[in-house]
Amino acid sequence: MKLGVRALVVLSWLACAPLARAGEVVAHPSVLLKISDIRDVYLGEKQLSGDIRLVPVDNSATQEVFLAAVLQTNARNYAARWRRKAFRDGISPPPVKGSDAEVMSFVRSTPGAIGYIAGTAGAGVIVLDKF
Amino acid sequence: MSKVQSIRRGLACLTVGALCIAAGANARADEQSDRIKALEQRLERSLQLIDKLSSRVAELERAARAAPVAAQAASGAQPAQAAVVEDHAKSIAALQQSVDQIADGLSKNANDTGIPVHGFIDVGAGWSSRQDPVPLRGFNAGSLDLYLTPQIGARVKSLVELVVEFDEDGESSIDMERVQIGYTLSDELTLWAGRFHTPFGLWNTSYHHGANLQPSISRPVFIDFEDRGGLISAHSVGVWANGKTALGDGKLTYDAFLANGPSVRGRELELNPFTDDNHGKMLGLNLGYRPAGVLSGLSVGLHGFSSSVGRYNDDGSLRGTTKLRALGGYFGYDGRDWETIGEFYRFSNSSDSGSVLSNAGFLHVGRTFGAFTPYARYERASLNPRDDYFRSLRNGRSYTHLVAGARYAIDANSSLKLELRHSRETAAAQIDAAGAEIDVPEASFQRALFQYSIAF
Repeated sequence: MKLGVRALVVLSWLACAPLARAGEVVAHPSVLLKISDIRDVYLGEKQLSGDIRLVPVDNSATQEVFLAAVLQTNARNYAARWRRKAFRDGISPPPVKGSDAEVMSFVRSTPGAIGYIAGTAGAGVIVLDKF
Repeated sequence: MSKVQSIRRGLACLTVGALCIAAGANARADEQSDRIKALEQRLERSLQLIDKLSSRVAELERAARAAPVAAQAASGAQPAQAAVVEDHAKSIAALQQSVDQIADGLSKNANDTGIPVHGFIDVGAGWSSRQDPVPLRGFNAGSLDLYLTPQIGARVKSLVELVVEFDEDGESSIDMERVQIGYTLSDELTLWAGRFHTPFGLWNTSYHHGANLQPSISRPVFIDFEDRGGLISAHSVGVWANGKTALGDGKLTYDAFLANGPSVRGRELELNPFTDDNHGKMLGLNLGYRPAGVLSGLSVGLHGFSSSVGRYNDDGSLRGTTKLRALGGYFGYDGRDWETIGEFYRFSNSSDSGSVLSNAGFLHVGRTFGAFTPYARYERASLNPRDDYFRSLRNGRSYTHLVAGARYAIDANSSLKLELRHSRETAAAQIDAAGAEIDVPEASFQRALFQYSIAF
C-alpha cells in the first residue's frame, strides 16, 4: 500500500514537473523568432531578425536557471564561449541587467531586444518561450 | 634622432594618450557606477516599501472581512477604513510608477557605456638549454592585447586589435594586429575587409593573440606569428567572406579570402600590409562542419590556400618567386572536459628549382579536472630541403616538438600555465638574408616556460 502511495506521489510529481516553469523569454514586438532560435541568439550565432539587429540581454537575477534550462551550460562556460566568440567574430556579448524590471523596461523600449525574466511578462512585450 | 626612433616615440605618445583617454573614461564610468548603485539602492528600498504596504493592505482587507458585525455596530468606522485602504492602494500605484522609472533609468544607464575595450595581459618566465636558438634565462614582460568591437547599425561591425609586446631583442613594439570592417549580409554570410587572422585550420582564428584564451603558452611553431618564425602567414590583408548555415542537424561553416600574398624578407614572412609586391594574390578556402547532438563540440574541415611569394635579399633585390600551394584538414573537439585540436598541411611548392612536397601538422590534447587542465602537444614538420620558400625562412627546416604542460584556472578570467618543451631540428642548408647558402647544424633543446595571464 505504502509503495503504491509513493509511486502515486512520484507519478504526480513527474506529471506536474513539466508545468513548473522558472521564467519567460520575452522580446520586443518587432522580433520574429522561432523557439529554436533563442539558443542561437544567446550564443551569437543569429544576429538578425529580418532587417532588425537582435539585441539579447542577460538577467543576472535569473541567469543561472536560464543558462541551464535553455542553453544547457553554466555561467563560466557561457562567459568563456562569448570571450572566444567576441575575439573571433567581432561581436559583443549580451549586456547584463540586474532585475526583471530592468529587463522588461529595456525590452519594451528597444526594437530587436530579447530578454528573460523570472516572473510573468507585463504589457508591451511578447513571450517567446517559457523555461 | 633617427626616423625609427621618431616613429617609436610617436607611437609611445599615442599609447600614453590612449591610456589617458581610457583613464578619463574610467573616471566617468566610476561616476556612472556610483549613480547606478544609488539608483539600485533606491529601487531596493522602494520594493521593500511596496512589500510592506501590500502586506498592510492585505491585513486591512482581512480585518474588514472578519469583522462585519463590529463594522455594522460601528458603521461610521467602515468608510474610514475603506479610505485608508484606498490611500494605500494609491501609494502602491505611485511607488510602482516610481519603480518603473528607476528601472528605466538603470536600463538606460547600463546601455550608455560607450564601446567596451577588452583585452589580455600576460607576464612570464622561461629557461632553455644551450642549443635553443632563442636562449631564455629569466622573466619576461609578456604582452598587452587590447581589442574593441564597435557595431554601427544593424549590419555594420568592426574589430580592432592592438598588441604591445617585447621581441627577442628586448625592443617593445606596437602592432595593429587586426583592423577589419564587416558587413553582415545575413546570418549566413558576413563580408570583411582589412587586416584579419588568416582563416586556416582552427587554432589561428580561435586563439591567436590573447594568452589567456590560448590553451597552452606557446603556439604550434608552424602557425606561429610571422615575426616569431611562423612558416605560413598568420595574418592577411584583403577581403574575407565567412559564415555558417544549417546542414542536417549541424552547421556547415565556410571562409573564403583574397589577400595580398606574403613575401620573405630578412628570413621572415612579411604580410605586405600596405600593398602587394606582386600580382599573385593569396587565395584561400576553409570548409568545416560542426555536428549537433551527441557529437556537439566537434569540428572537422578542409582548408587550402595558394599564393605567389617573392623572396628578397637584404638589398631589396628579388631572389626568386615561389608558388605556394597548401591543402590540408583539421578537427577539433571542445566538450565533456576535453579540448583537442589537430591540423595537417601538405605543401606542393614550385619555384625555379622545381616542384617539391612538404608537410606539417600538430595534435593538441587537454583534459580538464576541476581547475586543472594538463595538456600535451606533438608537432612535426617534414620540409623538403630543396624547397626555396622554407629554406629562406629562419625556422624552415624539419622538426619535432613535444610539449607538455598544465593550466590552472584561478578564476574565469585568470590562469597560470607551466609548460615544458623538447625540440629537435634537423640540419639543413638554408639561405640567409643576403641570399647566401648557410649550413645550419642539427639542434636539440629543451624549454621550461611559466605564464600568468588575465582577460578583462
